[in-house]
Amino acid sequence: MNPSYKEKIVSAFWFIVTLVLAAIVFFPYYWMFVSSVETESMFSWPPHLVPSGFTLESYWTIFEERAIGRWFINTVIVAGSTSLFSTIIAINAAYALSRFKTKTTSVFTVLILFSQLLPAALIVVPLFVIFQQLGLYNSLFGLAIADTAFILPVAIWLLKGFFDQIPVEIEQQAMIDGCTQLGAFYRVVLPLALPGLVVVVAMSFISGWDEFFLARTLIASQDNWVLSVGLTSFRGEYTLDWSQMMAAAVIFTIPALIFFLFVQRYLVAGLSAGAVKG
Amino acid sequence: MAELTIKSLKKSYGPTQIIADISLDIVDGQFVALVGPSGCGKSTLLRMIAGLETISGGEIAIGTRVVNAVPPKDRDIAMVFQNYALYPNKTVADNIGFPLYMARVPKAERDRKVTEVMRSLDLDALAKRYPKQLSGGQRQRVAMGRAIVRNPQVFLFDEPLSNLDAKLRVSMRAEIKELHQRLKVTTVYVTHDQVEAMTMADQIVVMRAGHVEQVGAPLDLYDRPANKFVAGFIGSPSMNFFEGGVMDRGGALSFVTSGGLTIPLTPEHCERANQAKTLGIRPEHIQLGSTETSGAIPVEIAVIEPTGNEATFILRSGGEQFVVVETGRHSYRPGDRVWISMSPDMLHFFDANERAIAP
Repeated sequence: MNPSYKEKIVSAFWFIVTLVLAAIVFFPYYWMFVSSVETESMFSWPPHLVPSGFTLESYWTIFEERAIGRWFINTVIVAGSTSLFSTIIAINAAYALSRFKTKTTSVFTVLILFSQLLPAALIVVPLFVIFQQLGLYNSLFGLAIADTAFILPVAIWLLKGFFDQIPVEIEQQAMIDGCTQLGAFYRVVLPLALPGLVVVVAMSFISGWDEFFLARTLIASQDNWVLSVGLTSFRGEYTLDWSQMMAAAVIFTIPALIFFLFVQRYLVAGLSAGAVKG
Repeated sequence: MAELTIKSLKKSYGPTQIIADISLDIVDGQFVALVGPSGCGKSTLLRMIAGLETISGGEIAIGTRVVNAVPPKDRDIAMVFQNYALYPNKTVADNIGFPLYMARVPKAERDRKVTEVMRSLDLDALAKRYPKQLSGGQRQRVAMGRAIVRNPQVFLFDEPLSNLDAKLRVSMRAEIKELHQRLKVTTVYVTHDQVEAMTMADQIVVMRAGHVEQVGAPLDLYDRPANKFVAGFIGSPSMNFFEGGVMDRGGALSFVTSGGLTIPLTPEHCERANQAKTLGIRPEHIQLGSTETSGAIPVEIAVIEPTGNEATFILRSGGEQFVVVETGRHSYRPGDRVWISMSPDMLHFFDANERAIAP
């Protein structure tokens, strides 16, 4: 067989495979969107892959009847704070663990990872009690702290990996060239770890955005709900309004999607950074 | 430019002593090489001068200022690291300009100085490139540019050539030497390669296990090593050593080695040789001959390593094996029986403590 002909077949094959995989991944999102704007019931048979009509009524309804705007803002506050807290803490912790290696810090590095072994369900009751005593119960700030605690170990390990890859000589060179140790860190090391930083910001934001378990437990009043908790409220005891629920789900998904699109370039660079060395 | 004075400097990590009481005076404008095997403390010493390591005891002064507690940025020094430590996210021009930027030098003056340095190092065409787009030699030059642009009191080099291939190393060696001759800045250069030290330095400091073994001009160390370690470390191939003692057979003085070799001595050697436990001679000070002459020692050629202009012979006699370097062409083959003679003036004697016995 002609090699170029063979190459074409191979690349066509992989194109189709990619297309099928992409379709499998994207279909739920498509279905979610279609269900939210569909005029008829989505459970008619045969199912409408193309909506039979288009209406934004569900969207109007959820904004009028439910505090979805409020929940949205709450979610932004919680996710944003989680991202901010965990990034700031992880930067400092990871740098310290990467640069000041003693027996104590190595033990601590491993201990941090061990904390990941404990499932949230195990910690949530004591957390509930502690938060109540500290006055953090039913507060968005408190929820952000709890979310931060859960994402922090991963964030620290991830950033530590990035700092480990940056030769210490570059920092020392900066100190000779006129920086203090802290200055060398902020001016030289941090910019070099930017892809890692973006990964941590994105990861902690998303984990704060879609967290449900802690939000359900630590937040009591409807005013302080976040979207993930709010979404469950569409499931009544006897009723379930799919199109409203899907409309809320779309609103829940879009910001995360946009956020990912923005950081995607760094995210890919960041997650694959271990393979290349500057 | 300034002199560099080190007084009773000590460094230890817990109970482990890295630097044990070192004192050095480095004259203004001198090029000093710190050499020694790995782990001898030479890099630690350099890093202490730079301020990257704390000092456990003693004093370092640059010019008249004691810098023990002065942070690196305020010591007015420049350093070139083994891996160049270029800022990967900055261009060549920005890398070189960074120390000036940190020193708040106005932009116009900064640009002028950076351009000047880049021109002098043949880097002008690469100004906008990033370190990853440069070859090893170019990176090395950028690191040097960054060091010279600020016109420091002292240059510190930490094995700057060990990451380069052999050919480039030789040309960069000459470049660094030329740079020093042009700028005349006090330079401390760490290397484990004694050839680098010999070819570049005004003074060599030979270190071992945190101690200074000898300080001197390159040829002084070559001609008059203070002890067996320095004798073996300086010179390539290394000096040949023979363990043994002096014997007097009816007025004919000779050094009989434990391997059974009898090396004839002259009456002038008598006083020195008496306490000698080790005799040393450099490979280039042994002559090879195909015919027997008076005082010549018969040996067998084990291996010949030709390098073009000269050849290294590994010779065997009894239980001894040693090295001879001969220049010019020859027609010897491995297994040949030849005669060697040693220039009596070129013999070194070492006592039981491995100290050289001076004439």
